[in-house]
Amino acid sequence: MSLQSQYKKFADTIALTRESDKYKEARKKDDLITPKVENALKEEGYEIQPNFLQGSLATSTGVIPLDGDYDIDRALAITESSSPDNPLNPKKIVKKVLSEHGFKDPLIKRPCVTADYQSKPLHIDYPIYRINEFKNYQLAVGKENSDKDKRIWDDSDPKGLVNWITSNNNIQSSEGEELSIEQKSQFYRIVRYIKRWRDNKYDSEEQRKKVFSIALTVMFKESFTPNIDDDGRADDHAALKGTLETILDRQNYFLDEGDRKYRICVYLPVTPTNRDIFDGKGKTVGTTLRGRLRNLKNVMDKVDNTESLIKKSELLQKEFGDDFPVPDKDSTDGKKSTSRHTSATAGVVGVSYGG
Amino acid sequence: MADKLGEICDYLKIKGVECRSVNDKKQIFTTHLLGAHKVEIRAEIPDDFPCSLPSFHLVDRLKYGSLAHVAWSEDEYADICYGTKDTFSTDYHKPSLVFWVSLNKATAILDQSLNDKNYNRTELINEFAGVWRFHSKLKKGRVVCLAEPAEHVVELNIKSTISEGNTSILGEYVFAINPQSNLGNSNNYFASSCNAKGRITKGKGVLVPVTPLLEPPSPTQSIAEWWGDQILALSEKTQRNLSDLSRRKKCREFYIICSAPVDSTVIWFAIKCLNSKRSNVPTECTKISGWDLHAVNLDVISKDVLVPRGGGYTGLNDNKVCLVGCGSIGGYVADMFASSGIGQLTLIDDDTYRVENLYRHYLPPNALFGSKNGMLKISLESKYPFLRVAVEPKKLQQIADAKFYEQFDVIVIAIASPSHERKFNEFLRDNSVDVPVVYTWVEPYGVGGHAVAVMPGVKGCLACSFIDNESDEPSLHPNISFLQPGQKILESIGGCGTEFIAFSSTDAIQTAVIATKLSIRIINGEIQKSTIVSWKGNSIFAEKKNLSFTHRYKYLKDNISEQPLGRDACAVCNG
Repeated sequence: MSLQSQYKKFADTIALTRESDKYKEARKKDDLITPKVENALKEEGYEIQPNFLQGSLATSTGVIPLDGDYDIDRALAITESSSPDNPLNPKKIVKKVLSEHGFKDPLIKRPCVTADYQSKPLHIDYPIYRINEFKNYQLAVGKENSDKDKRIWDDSDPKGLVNWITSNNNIQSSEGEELSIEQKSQFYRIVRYIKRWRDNKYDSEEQRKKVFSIALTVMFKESFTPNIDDDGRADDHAALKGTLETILDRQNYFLDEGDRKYRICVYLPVTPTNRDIFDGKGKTVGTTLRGRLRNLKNVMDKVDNTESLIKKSELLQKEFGDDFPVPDKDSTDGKKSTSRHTSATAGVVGVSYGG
Repeated sequence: MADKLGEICDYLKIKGVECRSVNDKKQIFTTHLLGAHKVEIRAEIPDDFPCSLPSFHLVDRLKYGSLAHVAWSEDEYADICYGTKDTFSTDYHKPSLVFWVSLNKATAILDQSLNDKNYNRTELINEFAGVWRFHSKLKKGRVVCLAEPAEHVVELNIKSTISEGNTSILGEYVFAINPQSNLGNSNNYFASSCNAKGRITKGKGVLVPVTPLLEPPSPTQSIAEWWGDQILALSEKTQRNLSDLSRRKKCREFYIICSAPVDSTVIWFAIKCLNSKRSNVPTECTKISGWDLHAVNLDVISKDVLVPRGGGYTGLNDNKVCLVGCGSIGGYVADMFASSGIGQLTLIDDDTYRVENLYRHYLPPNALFGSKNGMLKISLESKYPFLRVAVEPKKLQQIADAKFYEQFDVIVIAIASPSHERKFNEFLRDNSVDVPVVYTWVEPYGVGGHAVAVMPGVKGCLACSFIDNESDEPSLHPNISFLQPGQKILESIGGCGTEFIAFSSTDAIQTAVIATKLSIRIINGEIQKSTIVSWKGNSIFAEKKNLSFTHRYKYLKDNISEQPLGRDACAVCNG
């Protein structure tokens, strides 16, 4: 039993995918409601384009929410030629369908239509895009009562963002080396760790929601410092710590505002690339986030200087929450592992070798 | 060519060498003063000179007696051996320089042989067998001797294949056999050739331990004269035994095989003795007259001669290796063990050699439909006379007997069955079997192969190579693989039952090489820790199949280097 095995168990516990059991209800609702929404748009004369997942489920960085509130991040798309000038029109149709299908108080927000399901802890976000013949995307932006100049079709690249996050691009590599499959898996894991850390460390929902997942993901992608030795052995602790150090050392995320205050600024890596994810409101988030990330890094240093696996795990549990496992005394004393005849993977797998 | 010869002569004259060319014969004659000897050397220029080097011949060779590194024959052949010509790399843009440097090498050798008596004697002894060949003038027949070097005089059995209409693959041979020697296994080619039809005559030959060995006969000396001198130089005991033999034995044809230990090697040579009348054999000086003695070429079939000549180690002859799995890798592993000089192989396999195996298996088509290990036994014992092969027509899991495995110096597992391999690994640990094991397998599409050496009683076992790299916990996939797990790898020709892993014979051979080398290093005591060796091939074919590679494949820097095996998380060797 090792610290890496604790990290991996943690990763497996918190990982949320569309296939996860815990996402079953959300998946069912998504499968049910999305065709109805698309039909309603179609009936209004909009030419429907294939919908797609966006957000953490599309980038393999989903985390089981601590508050049990699951997201459906489903992007809808229509052709530019069938789209109205007013981007609110299709948003209103979506809102109507949601209100008729068990969602309470659907709301047209600036980038999407959002609603909570009435009887289950899940909410849905429907951003609506229009696509032109060159496959360029524009997002329907505007609240229900926005002025005309705030109701716009705004250039966007939702698929480009997913591709950028899931690409093999190793941004920290000076030789332009691509990430191996194992390094990419490690990236997904450490993004999940930091998202769960945020959920654990920010008690206030209001504060937590301001530390955007996409901002953490972009910072981690840009600063990812993989740690896998040449034999393929992963060290997630070192990778997470190395990435944190890179983020804190960089001069472009936390901007010194004086008086020990920091504004956070993270730019989108895709169109529109001049867009700060915090939209200029990072001043309130930056100081706290920077302080807490520094504290996490210090705890990780302390873990490195601690001998006992139990104590290491206890320190990390305080940072990541109860899902970070602490081994019991028996499993670390004398008997290093009791899992001689068991396997972390499936009971039967095919192998690729001959003799 | 005439221009070339002219250029060379001009060059030699500038260097102060007296020379002349004979253009139509492509020859250049040069004169040299070597000590007190004024010698003339004839250079013969090959058509593809200067890529091929000239040969230099000593003119009036017979004037100079025994000279190391200078041949002779009746047709003025008197080649000065200044090195194996193919091993030189020449600057073929400068023919005159090439000639000059070659000539200097030849004259330096000749100078030393002519003027340094100690050097000349030592070298003549060292190249005794070579000189002996110059004396060999019989057009028919060689002698094949199946014997170990002699410690005392031994009578030999003789079987001749020299006859009209001889159809032996070996051609016209005389077999000289020491019945007391290790003649190897019963399948060996030479033993079976000896046992084929034809009469074996007892006592028509003798094996003589020759100490000290005289210089080989000079070009003008007869073999009979030289043999008389050599008998007188032998120990009293040997002379007595030879005299006794001569008194007892009479015949018309007799063979004398001599083994002479010199420094760390043994020099062998043979004399064929012919007499028109039945006479006492010429193993005593007084009985030599009346006999025609001829130097004959000799091939010795003895493990002390054959194994080192093939690059093997005679020290491995007492070692026992168990090979489980006689498939594509196992077949070549078995052959490599045998050629390395391993004395005893036990082959465990219950599979049949089938047509689909042909293109990547060691065995030939005439082994088809036989058992793989049985046919390997016949094939290997036939090729390697001193190898002994035992076979067990079983699967690995059918032999759960710790005592059985303890008899071996190393066990090699080449069955490509991860479950049985892991279980066997646990069985050996649980029963404290004190034998190293090498597990070996190949990955498809030429991406590579692995050999995992598990040393008994130390950290590092097969289960360590099944610890997941991400979770640090037991896994069902080897963590040293080059291809990502969970991909569609099996190919099929005709549906169920015809699936196979696509790898080539060269992949199997390369994997067999790393497994065998690792095993031999273990036997030689050069490996004490559990070790992994992998060879990494190219990715072209796997990429065409859209297969993904592991981090280890991408970053493995030292291809075929030995890496330590062992994971703290392993419950089998740490538990």
